[in-house]
Formats: sequence, C-alpha cells, structure tokens
Amino acid sequence: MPTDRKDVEQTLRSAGLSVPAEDLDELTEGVAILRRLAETLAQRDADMGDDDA
Amino acid sequence: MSDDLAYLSIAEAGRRLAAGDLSPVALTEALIARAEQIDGALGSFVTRTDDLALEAARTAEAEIAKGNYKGPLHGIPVALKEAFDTAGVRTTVGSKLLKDRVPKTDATAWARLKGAGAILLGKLETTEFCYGGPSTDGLFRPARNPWHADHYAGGSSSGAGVSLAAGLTLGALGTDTGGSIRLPAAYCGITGFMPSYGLVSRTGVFPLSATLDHVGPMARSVEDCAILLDALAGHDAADPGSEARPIVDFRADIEGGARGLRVGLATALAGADAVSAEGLAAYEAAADVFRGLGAEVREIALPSLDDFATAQIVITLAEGYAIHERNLQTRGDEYTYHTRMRLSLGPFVRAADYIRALKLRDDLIRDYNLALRDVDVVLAPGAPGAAPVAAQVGAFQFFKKPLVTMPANVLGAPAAGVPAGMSSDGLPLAIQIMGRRFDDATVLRAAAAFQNATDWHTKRPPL
Repeated sequence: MPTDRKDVEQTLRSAGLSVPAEDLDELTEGVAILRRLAETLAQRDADMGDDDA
Repeated sequence: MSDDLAYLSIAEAGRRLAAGDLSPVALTEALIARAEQIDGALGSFVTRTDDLALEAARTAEAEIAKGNYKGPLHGIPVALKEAFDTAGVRTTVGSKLLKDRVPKTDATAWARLKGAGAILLGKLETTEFCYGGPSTDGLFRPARNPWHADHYAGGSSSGAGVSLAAGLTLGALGTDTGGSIRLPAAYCGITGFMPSYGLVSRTGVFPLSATLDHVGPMARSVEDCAILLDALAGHDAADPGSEARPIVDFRADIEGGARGLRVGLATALAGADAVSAEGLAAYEAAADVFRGLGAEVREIALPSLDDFATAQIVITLAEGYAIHERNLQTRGDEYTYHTRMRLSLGPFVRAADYIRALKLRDDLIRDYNLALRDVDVVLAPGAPGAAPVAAQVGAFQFFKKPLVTMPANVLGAPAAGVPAGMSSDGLPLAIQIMGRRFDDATVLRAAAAFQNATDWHTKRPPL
C-alpha cells in the first residue's frame, strides 16, 4: 500500500478518482494510518496461522 | 413557551395527552414557535414540516378525543435525522449530491413511529452521508452545540442531539455506524440508544456500512428511548440485517433497578489516551453510583480499543466506498472535504484487508461474549471526553484516535449513551452501558437505574 504522495496520486487515478493537489498530503497521512491497520490485520492473521500450525 | 413544555418527556406528555390534559396541537404549536425563535442560530432542523405537523396534530387530537388512543406516542412530536426517507419530504443525507431528492416512500422506522401516532416536526441536520463533518462546505452548516457554539455537536446525528438539548422536539431518530447516535448524545447532554444489530429496520435509511449501521432512538431520558424502541423494534424482511425475534416490552423492566445487577468495567476500552481525564472521572463516578445501587461491579477483560477500531475503520471504508465509488469518480467535487477525504481511502483497502477485518470482528464478538458470561452489562466511557472545538476536528481524527463508541458497532451489541457529568468548561460528559446482543432490555434497565439515581440528564444548556 503506497504512502508516498505520488503513489497515492497514482492509485487514486487508477481508481478513477482525483483529489486536489493541496489535499494530497493529508490524504497520504490517512493512507499511512490505513496501512498500519492493514499491517496489524496481516500480522494478526500470520500469528494465528502460526498458532494453528 | 415555558421550559416545562419544551423539555417535557415523552412519557409525561403521553400521560397528559391520553388524559386529555394536553392538546397535541398546542404542544406541536409550542415546539414550532420555539424552533422559530431559537433554531435559526442552532441550525438543528434542515427542513421543518410545520404544516404537515399541525395537520397530523389535529388528526391525533380528534382520534384521542374519540377514544381511539394508539398508545404512548400518539400525538408526540418527533424529528428525524436527514438520512431517513420521508415520503414527499426532501431527504438529502446532508449532501449537495442529493439536494433535490424527494423520496416516494417512508423509511420503515419512521413508518412505525407514524403508525404509533407520532408527529413529524421535520428533518434534522446530519454530517454528509453520515460520515463527514463537521464541515462548513456542505449543503447545510453544521448544527451548533447549544452548550457552546464553538464546540462540536457530535456526528453524524448532530441535529438530533442539538434539537433535543434545545427543547425543540421530544424525541428523534438517529443512525450509528461508529458512534453517530452516542457521540451527539454525549456532546449535547441527551440520551441516545443504539439497539442491537438486527432489532430495528434500516429500510429507507441511507447506508454507510451495511454490516455496522444501526438505527436508534434519541431522547432526553432512557425511558423515552424505550418508548420509542417499543414502536421501532420488529422484523423487516426488506432489511437483510433484520432478525425475527420475539416481541419484547422494553419498558416492562425499566424500573427494575440495579440491585444485584452484574456490571463489568471496560477500563481496557478507555486506555491509550482514548478518553480524557474528566471523561474517565465521570466513568469512575458512574461505577460508584452502580455500587451504591447494590450492583456487583467488577473489572472484566475485553479486547483492546485498537482492535475494535481497526475492524470498524476497515469495514466502514470498504463498505462505504462501494456505495460511493461511482459518485466519487464522477461528482467528487460535490462532496464536502471531510467526506471526500475519508471515502477516498476506499481504493486503498484491499479485499484481503476487508476479509481479515471481518475475521477480526468474529473473534472480537467471541471474546466479548466470553467476557459477558460473568456480567449482565458493561460500563464504559461514553465519548473521548467533552465536545471538542469543531474547527479542530480533522478529516482523520477518529482514525488517529479511536472512538470508545466503536466497539458496540463491531459487536452489534446494544449501547446506551447517558449523560454522566459536566466538564470544567461546562460541557456534558457521558457514559455508555453496553450489553449482550438482543438483551437490550437489560441495558435499558441499567441505564434507567443510573438516571434515576443521578440528575445529569436533567441539565439544560444556557439558551
């Protein structure tokens, strides 16, 4: 998941969305928060897989 | 209009209406006059249906006079969050995208209240699509907190919180996906009740997150919420989340008190700076109130607030983005800044993230149910603290600082938001009482016991 401003812009464009340039920094901050949540979920999944094993 | 009439409870108004001591027309006229006088500054109503309300009041008056009394909501004026469809009455969900939308049918929840004799005063301000705000670039300006105009009224059922605190309606309906009934209740000093997922129909209510959205009553007391819930609850085949359950009288045990009630303290949900010192003090004082009432109060182990927030945020983004994707692509500039920023995270949620969040939710429900084997209800702080300054609420505020209201949505559990103190700035503080899914009656009983022992819910803003 991108947390670089340009990558964020590219992902948005691929999804057919656009955000004004002046808002990209704050959105990138939001994407960074979301990335941390996604990593937490993935790590939790991995830990549970370890338990299952 | 005296404050006595403006702040009349549904229960008391119902008794007086049934006895013929109060006229539905007089009550409706009085509330309309009060709205005319003070709501220009507050902005809690986005549409007032004065003529329709007076017509309905006259009908109610004639029906009651003929002996056709329908029950405790007959002749009671209420108002609805702008997310509820109302036949023939504009319903915008607070967005420029829907500024001219006039539904042809009523939301089921409103149809049930109307069938019980309630009178529609109008539609109440919501943050855009129940996910934005507080935004000054929307179709309507945010409703102002009557305790302090610079402070947030809470979202997204903002207008409901403000109108009740200001004595402009006797009851209201709100929606709640992460706290949108309980936060405005907390910030405005009124009572909000989020029923169990599946208890109240959402048909005709604009969705945000199909698996987290709840519809519920807002009022100035737990008893009034129970009266509204009695009319609202019931299966609706048109709502995939609705469940067929035995009919429950939610007022039957509401005066049952707290003696012997097992109250679990959810201190884990208040950790990690999620709640202010004053909010925590109100929560701890509430625990003492329950001890004084003879309840068995004990700490219980619950998952962390961060786990609940992770599930709530990811699920809401995935489900909300699916609803808004097309409009974001074609009419993105018509959204408010806050809503557009939040929903624009949607493309960054992967399918694996969403599935893992759903799995996490299942695990959280399991852990919660295990914890509730030893208690009847859970006491938790009602909000992060007193209402923040509205201008300081950023687009990702509740992503950065999880809301203590989020767990109940993830769990589908009933949760009452109840006034429980005042901050040093003179703003309301609140607690939450949560319970087992579909044990709404016990939550209402515990919350009513707390209100019977305290007077925080009777405090009025300086209008």
